[in-house]
Amino acid sequence: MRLFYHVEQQKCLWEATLPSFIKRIDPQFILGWRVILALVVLLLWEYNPEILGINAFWLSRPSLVLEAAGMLHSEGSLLPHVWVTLLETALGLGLGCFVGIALGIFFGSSRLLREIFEPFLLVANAFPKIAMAPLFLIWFGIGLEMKVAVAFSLVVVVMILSTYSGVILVRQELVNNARLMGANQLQIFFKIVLPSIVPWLFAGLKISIAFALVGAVLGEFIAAQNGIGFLIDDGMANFESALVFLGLVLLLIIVWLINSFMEAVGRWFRIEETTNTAAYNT
Amino acid sequence: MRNLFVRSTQVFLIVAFFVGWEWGARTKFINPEWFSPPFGVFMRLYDETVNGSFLVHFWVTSLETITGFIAGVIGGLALGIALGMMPRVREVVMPYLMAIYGIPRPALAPIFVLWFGIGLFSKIALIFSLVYFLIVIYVIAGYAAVNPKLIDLSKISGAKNHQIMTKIIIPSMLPYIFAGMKLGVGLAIIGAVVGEIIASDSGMGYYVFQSSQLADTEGIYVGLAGLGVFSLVLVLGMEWIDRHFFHWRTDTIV
Repeated sequence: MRLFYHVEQQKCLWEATLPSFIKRIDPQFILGWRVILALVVLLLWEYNPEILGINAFWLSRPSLVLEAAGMLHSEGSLLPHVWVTLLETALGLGLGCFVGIALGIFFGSSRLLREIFEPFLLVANAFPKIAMAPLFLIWFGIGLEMKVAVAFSLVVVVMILSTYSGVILVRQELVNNARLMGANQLQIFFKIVLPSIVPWLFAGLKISIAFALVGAVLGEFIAAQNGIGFLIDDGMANFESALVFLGLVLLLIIVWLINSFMEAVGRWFRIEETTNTAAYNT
Repeated sequence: MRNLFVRSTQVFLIVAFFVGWEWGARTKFINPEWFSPPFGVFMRLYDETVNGSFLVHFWVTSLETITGFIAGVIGGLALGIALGMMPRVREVVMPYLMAIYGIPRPALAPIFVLWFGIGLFSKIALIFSLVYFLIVIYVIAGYAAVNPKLIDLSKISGAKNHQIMTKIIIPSMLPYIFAGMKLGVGLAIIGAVVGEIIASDSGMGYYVFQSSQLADTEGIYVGLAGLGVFSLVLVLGMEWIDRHFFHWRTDTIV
């Protein structure tokens, strides 16, 4: 999805009717305006009780959030919370990718299997898998396994579907040529199928990471003693809004770091963007 | 012939799955505390739908999902089109929009519970927040995909601004908006379920969660079955609309 492109190329209907302060935004100074906007929002957040006259409970303040973070850190429990959530995310992601890629390749490997299993995959995608979290609570108890299971259930369907779309779009003439030149099934798989589906695996992985994190956090909402989700849920239960916002800020930072990392990986290995139209559901 | 084989295999798989499950749970081959027999689940779903004790939860979830979804789509369209008309403002706010879009937003549910309590409104607000940003992003992507040559051409031919809007920009954006809406329906259901699981007193998500707190496995499966039917109807309905009204779409999205 292309979202950023040069401002000057854009068609602006009704340009003349826009208020003058918008017309005065200099395209060369976009970055400056971004910084200004961020500062304004931060200041508004910090001084919202004074400026907007609302209780600090509703929106909290950056200083209160930092204070809460400092307090947790001095107790030595901030990083363990983050660590637990990351561990659950990673386990659910790893397991989900392993099973999902294997099943995706299996379902995509022949036309018959594809025709048989496609409706089941569509149903699995449409089903709100997050609602199965209470079931996993019964199955696995309140420990780590439950969150891993929730993350797994979200990741596995995405990985099956994205692997599967990659496999069915492998260029048939490459497979046929290789076969003509005497390649066996194993060689075709490793030399042609696997390299062709890398962009799809990568796109699926990018979505899966976010889903795994959602799964881990929601699992922690339902029952947990630690983790970022527990922090947020605890803050909600005790009406400590600073804790809730701290949890959300931590999630925001984690997601931002992971996304930047994945983008860097994509650029470094020159993985092409897929044209995947599938709509994945958590 | 081949088609018949595929269909019969599918039917066989479904039947074998349920019969195996029923048989396994009855003979305690699989733990019935974990997998309660599907026939009992079906009977209970039927009974509680007929006497209305499950139907109430079904209506609450549908009401939340549909209200939140419609509100989110309308709000998202408004902001998306407004930002599309002001490219420079859009360029300024875009990174922040993407950052908000990137947070695992079902995790925002506790905030809405803090703000709006455990009633209907906190779920509607959560669903709104989920759908809203999705639609904004898709509308902006749709705006970016409008062919500028068409706009130039119609300007030369003397089209008015509102004509360009209704004849060129909106038709070119429609597939994108609809792609966003298709994703949005799924997200809206997630939002309703998550909100109900976290803090609620009605709805199918609440039903599932409450059953798990009472160690009532059959109840969990009843709730999941209801949710499954609900989401299948909505998601497949959107899929059907997409295939019937947007089949002219030639480019791929995302």
